[in-house]
Amino acid sequence: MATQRRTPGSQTSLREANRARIVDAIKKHGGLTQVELAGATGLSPATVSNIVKELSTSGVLHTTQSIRSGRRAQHVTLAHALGLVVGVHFSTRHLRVALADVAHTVVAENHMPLARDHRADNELDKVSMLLSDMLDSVEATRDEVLAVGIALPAPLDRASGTIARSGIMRGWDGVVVAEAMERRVKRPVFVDNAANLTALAESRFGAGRGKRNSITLDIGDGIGAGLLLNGGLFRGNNGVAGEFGHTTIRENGPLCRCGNRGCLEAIAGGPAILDELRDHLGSLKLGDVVLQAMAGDAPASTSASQRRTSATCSIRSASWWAVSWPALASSSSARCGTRSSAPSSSART
Amino acid sequence: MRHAVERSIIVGEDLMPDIVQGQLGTRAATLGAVAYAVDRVSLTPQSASL
Repeated sequence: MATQRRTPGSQTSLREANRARIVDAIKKHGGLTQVELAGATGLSPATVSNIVKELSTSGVLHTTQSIRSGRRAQHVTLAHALGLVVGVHFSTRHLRVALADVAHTVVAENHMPLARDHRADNELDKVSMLLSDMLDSVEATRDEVLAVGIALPAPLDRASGTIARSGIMRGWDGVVVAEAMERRVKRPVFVDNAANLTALAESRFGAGRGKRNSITLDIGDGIGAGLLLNGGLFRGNNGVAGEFGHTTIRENGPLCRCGNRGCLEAIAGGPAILDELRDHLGSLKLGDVVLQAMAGDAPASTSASQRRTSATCSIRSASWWAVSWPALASSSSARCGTRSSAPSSSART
Repeated sequence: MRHAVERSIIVGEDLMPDIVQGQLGTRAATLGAVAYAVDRVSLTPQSASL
């Protein structure tokens, strides 16, 4: 049988492009009805229906009946059996690994503490061993893993694949993390900054769902931000657009782990707060200090107030915040969360 | 056209963005790494048949 030529603008290439739009929309949203798919892709309902039928038959998509606004609808997701992906998060003191299918359903999860100055070679070996155990637990093989995503608590130089600023993760300086992990797991590996991937997760599954523009502030031991503009991560020209934790806000201030002085992180990050409170509260973890501040404990709350003048968030905000601008959203958004109630803005027609 | 422009500059009454707490807690970056990996995988009928 003669193969079809894929010339630009041909029916074949158009059909392939439309298939890709539908798969990309489902990847982004997790699962959509056919009506929602038509809205998200701009394709006609008939085109969506034909392509969904074709991709369901070939095993790429999975459809189930559901109810939307009281009416029956065809809900479309990626087929679970397409394969598995791995998500890895290295923070300064913890390692978390999740094994999930391509529909983002987590099938196995594990976490463990890390030494303060952990090293890339040791920790990547650890991930490889953990992954083997997790695959065994769900009776899957490494061949079923399609890709690995890794979140690191540091800015990344996207050209070299190494950490952009030395000293932030000393045991990882100069390591091309994606390549080092690929050598161990023999699967494609993709690495990004943890604040960026936190923003991605909140926009897909959490507080930022449905918002096309948001900033997610990641405040803990380190301080960073992930920026989402027009539905996509914005990294800036050098890949470090959200790295506001290493902005100098006090000349000749305290020494930061990045080697500069007076960084926001050195003043308002977790270790800085714990250092100040050690005399009053002894050795505590950051989570305990947050709880004490929320309960109105005087030293903890005072520390929070003092740092509010330097940082954009107080110790009460030492968690993850998503910020969205209704002005840039494509539809009206109801106000929610911890702000005082106000009437929702409504779209004028 | 006028309606499209009006919709694009709708702001809240106090011109402030919504500020809300993240919902995913300590799992957020891990789940983001999962989503990132899924985004980078090419899914085709050929990959389904493997």
